[in-house]
Amino acid sequence: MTESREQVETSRTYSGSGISVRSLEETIAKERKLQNEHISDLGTLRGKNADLQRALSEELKKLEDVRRHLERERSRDGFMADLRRSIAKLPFFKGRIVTRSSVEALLRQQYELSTERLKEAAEFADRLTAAKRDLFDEVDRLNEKIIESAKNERVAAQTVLELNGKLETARAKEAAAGPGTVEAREFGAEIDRIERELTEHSAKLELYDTAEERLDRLKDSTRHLADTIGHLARDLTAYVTVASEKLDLIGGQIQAIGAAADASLVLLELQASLESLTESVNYTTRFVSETQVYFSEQVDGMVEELSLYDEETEKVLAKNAAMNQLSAEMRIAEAVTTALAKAPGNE
Amino acid sequence: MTPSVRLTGPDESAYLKRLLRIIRAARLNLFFPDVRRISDHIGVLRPEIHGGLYDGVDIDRRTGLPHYTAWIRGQTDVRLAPKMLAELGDARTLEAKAKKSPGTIHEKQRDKQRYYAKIERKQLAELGGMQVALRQIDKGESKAYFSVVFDKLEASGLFVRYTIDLVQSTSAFGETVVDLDGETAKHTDAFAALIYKMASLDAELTFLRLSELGGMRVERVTKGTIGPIFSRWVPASPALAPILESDDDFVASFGHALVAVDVADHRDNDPFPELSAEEAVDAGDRAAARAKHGYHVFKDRKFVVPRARAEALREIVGGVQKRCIIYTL
Repeated sequence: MTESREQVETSRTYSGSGISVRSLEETIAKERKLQNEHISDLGTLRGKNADLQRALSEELKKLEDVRRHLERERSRDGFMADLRRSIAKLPFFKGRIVTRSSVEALLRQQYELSTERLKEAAEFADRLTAAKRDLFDEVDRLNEKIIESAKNERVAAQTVLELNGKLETARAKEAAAGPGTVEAREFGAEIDRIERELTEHSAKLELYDTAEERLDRLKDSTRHLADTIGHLARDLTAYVTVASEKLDLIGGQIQAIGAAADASLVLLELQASLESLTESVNYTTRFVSETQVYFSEQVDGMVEELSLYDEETEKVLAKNAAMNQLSAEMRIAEAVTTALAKAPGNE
Repeated sequence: MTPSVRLTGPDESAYLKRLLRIIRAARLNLFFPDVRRISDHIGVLRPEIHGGLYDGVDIDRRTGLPHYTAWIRGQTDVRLAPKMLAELGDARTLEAKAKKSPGTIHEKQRDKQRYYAKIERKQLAELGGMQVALRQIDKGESKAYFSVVFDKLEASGLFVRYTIDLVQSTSAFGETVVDLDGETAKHTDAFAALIYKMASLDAELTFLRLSELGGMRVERVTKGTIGPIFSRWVPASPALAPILESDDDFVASFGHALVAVDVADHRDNDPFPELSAEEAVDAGDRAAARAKHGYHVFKDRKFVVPRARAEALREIVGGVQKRCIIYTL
């Protein structure tokens, strides 16, 4: 019995909106563009993170400098008389004429600046957490596409095997019918239809295989980005929490300390409260340098890797196009080999 | 450490709401810190505005006003609001993300966008700022008449405003500098620094100190003080403790001192001068200083209390032979 002239019937159907070289190229280009935007955002976040930490470190360091100045001058004779001049020597007060009476104003101003920097850092940490969540949503979305491609790839492989079987049967029947007979011609027509279907599904197999692999790589990159941002967010949140506690402690004292700055006893309190900042300053410095190293190691390599894989993808797609020029038999043979490799039990 | 109490939940909301009503009820004039700005500043701290982004507000237990760190919190958020709004992005996008992922960071980002949008344009109280206005120039006599207004959240936790009318004369009239004495610089920053310290002194001492500086004649010094506000959260001075019978009772006081050459006579109508928390500085013979400079001092204080406690306060004030304005809520 011969098959229908219109299409060879196969037992499986594909899900989704179908695939072609063009649609795959468009899909990958779109996903790659999105990825580039994420990497660009990450670059911006990286720069902002460094700026924030640097600024916060500077502001906290200024408070630390005030403490060291007071410590150094305290032991000198005529400390109170020299306090004004010693404060005036601090680099960030340079140019301003400072009186002893404005120590409170200067300390409050510095505290307020530090509070603003800290707030910016805290808000930034939240932005990073939100960005991480968005990226994991992306990972979910890509996984859905990968699963669809994988399922379709399996359908294509099984269809190729099924059609290959039908082709072999049809060829056997053609040979048995004898050359030039009507039956032989009919089987020949059937062979042509099967080969046409086989070509189509072989191409689909290759495309779904490429799509799955490429989307998987994009998903891995997105996952990597999410992990990088998550790492940043965790570190920054921990730092902000510690710095916030210390600033809260100082905030409770700073007015009284500033207002009574010429009382030795209060200066001791000032020294003690500002000493706690030393730890914050050291932590900040270490944090900034470690974060930059982490970025260099992770992100720069990620960008290079994606560019390299782009070249490989282009080669596959180019090869796909070139393959169209080869004879159908060579293409089908390769597809069958692939399908056999992907058959259940052989994966 | 400045003593404070953290109010949360309904207490936070109720306290700040009542504080705003008290300040409005006091009918403060221009010699007190700007009421609208103070109210907007306190308003920013309310849970109805921040929507739960903060877990409470710290109140200064000495004064009943927000603690210094709370004022700074409001100031910081308003200053950063435009930048934060730009970084948070579109409100509809945030709303969509929050709806899609309830209980996640996206809800918090949406809440922050709403908060910053509410406070973005608020004009808050000056925590230590000076404004100088030129009243008049007399070129013939080489004199300039200034009015200086200085607002400050004092180290004592009280909010004060100094209004100083002065006449500056200088041999180098064409310059913008003011050479006050050897320790201060010849520009307004130095003058601000001087007044900054003096905010903790009483108005008369400030008048005397400025009068001793060269090249300047002080016409008038006024000091208006907001607070303290006693309640169940803020223990009252012994004299006023009897007013606080129930948890809802409070006594809010607003001190006013005027030192000027054109005040008719000395008069002290402040029943509780210790409430101004001014530094007790021995200024020597004040009578002699008054005679020398020709000024008089007028002190006053007004109050806001619950209606049911007005009579009790009137009796306490009358007991020390004073007559003060008492507003009620």
